[in-house]
Amino acid sequence: MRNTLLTEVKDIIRKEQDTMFFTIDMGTWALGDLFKEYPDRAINFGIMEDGLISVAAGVASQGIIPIIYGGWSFLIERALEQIKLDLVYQKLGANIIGTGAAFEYSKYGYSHYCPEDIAILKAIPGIEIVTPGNKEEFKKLFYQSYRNGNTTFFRLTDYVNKWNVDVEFGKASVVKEGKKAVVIAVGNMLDMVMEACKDEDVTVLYYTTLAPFDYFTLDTYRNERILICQPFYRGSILNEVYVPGSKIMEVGFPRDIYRNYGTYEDVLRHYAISAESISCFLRKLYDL
Amino acid sequence: MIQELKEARKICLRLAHRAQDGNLQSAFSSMEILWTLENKVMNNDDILILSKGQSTLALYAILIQKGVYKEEEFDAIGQYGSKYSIQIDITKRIKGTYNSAGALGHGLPFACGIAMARKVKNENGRVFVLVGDGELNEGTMWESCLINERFKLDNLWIIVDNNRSHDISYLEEKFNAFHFISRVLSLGNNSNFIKTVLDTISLNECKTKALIICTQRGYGCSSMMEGPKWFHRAPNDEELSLLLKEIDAQ
Repeated sequence: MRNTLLTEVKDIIRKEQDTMFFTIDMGTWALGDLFKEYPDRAINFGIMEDGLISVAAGVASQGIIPIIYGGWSFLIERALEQIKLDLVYQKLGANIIGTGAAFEYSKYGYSHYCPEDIAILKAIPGIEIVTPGNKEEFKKLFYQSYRNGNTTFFRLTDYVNKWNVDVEFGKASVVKEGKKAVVIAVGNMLDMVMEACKDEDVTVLYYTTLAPFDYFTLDTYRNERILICQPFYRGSILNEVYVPGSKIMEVGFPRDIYRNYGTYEDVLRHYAISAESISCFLRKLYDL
Repeated sequence: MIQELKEARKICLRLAHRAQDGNLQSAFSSMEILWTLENKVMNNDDILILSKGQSTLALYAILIQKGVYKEEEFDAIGQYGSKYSIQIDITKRIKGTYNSAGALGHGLPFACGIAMARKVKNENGRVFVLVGDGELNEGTMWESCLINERFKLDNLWIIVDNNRSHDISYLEEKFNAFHFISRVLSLGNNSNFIKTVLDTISLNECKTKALIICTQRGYGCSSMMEGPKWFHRAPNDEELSLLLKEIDAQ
């Protein structure tokens, strides 16, 4: 997904005069030529998330489309006031792309973790949040939204789905239809969800845009039993999903600071996030 | 003080009175700076960013005086449903304003972005940014200095309203360390002096310009120059007439 981003950025900067690319010292190994060719529009900005978001807002105010690439946790949490005031308050748009979602930098500690990302971002009205499950989906979702004038966050992942869904920005995809429950799969949880649900009589809705949230598709397929499967803190999209009478269970990270390192697979194992646990939750949900 | 600056202060006072809110001391300290920029310095290609949002009422007053707005348009300033708030919201499309002000430490890096974009687009014009000395404690202000130095934003003019909110020493030396063209004006509540200093700055060097203008809080209104009482306070009817008289007496 990261390589796809870098390839597309090269293409966009070369073809579109009204775009600027800023990286926070990431992916620079692949961009040397671009930096040389377009020194004023393709810039390794250095480690300065908050200052960069303000600069990007200034750039956007002059009709240029900023594309920013950096570490997910730093982009969101170090620069939150800049995101809120310089971009959103002023209705200026930027594309902010981050790597290292949730616990993906598993060996680095809490400084590099951001499982609270969705809860934080969606608290600010008008921010768009995109969680592609693989590189094709990233490409599709990026091209459908990057010139729309809004502030859009793209949550890259290194742990991609094998499933490939024909996704659309702002819409949930119906991957499977069934009667006993609705399973919401967010981003890179889809493979696990499909493995658990292959023989289940459930509807699977695949969400790659979390804000604006596609209420319409959920309401169309609504079932009183809902299982949310998400690669971030549980509870993050609960109030989008809930209506009175719903029986909801969630698979995702508990509100906990992970301190055990290892691989991302170790993190998933630590929190019992697997196809088996999804099956187990479904059984419980059927019995509610 | 020239009559027009007295009049601008009076408009500012009336706005604060109507809104029953405002940062009058801060607005008054920067009145000469904003008035000089708007009336004697800036041309159509130039824009002004208020990093120091507390001076919003001063800018409104000057725009009213210039005829961009009628004062009556501000009758409901700050009240429910009004277009005008105590600190600017650019989404309300207020002519003569270019950034939403409020939180400090945002306007300077935002102005850097504008200056960068103008270079990319080969556009002329200067980007003036009014900065308060108080907000120079924010880290983003010094990040911006790094940005200015690195990208040689010679179209950016940093104007510090140094009203001693917070004593930051050796400011000129600090700016010079970033290779800016810096000037200090010690008696800064004087339009002629400000214009003269701005005119002495060389346009040939490819560097950011920084002008440190030493001002007095509440300048132009004697009781407002004493102590911090008027930092965040609006006049009642009685105080309004007293303060208006004080301005005339200057």
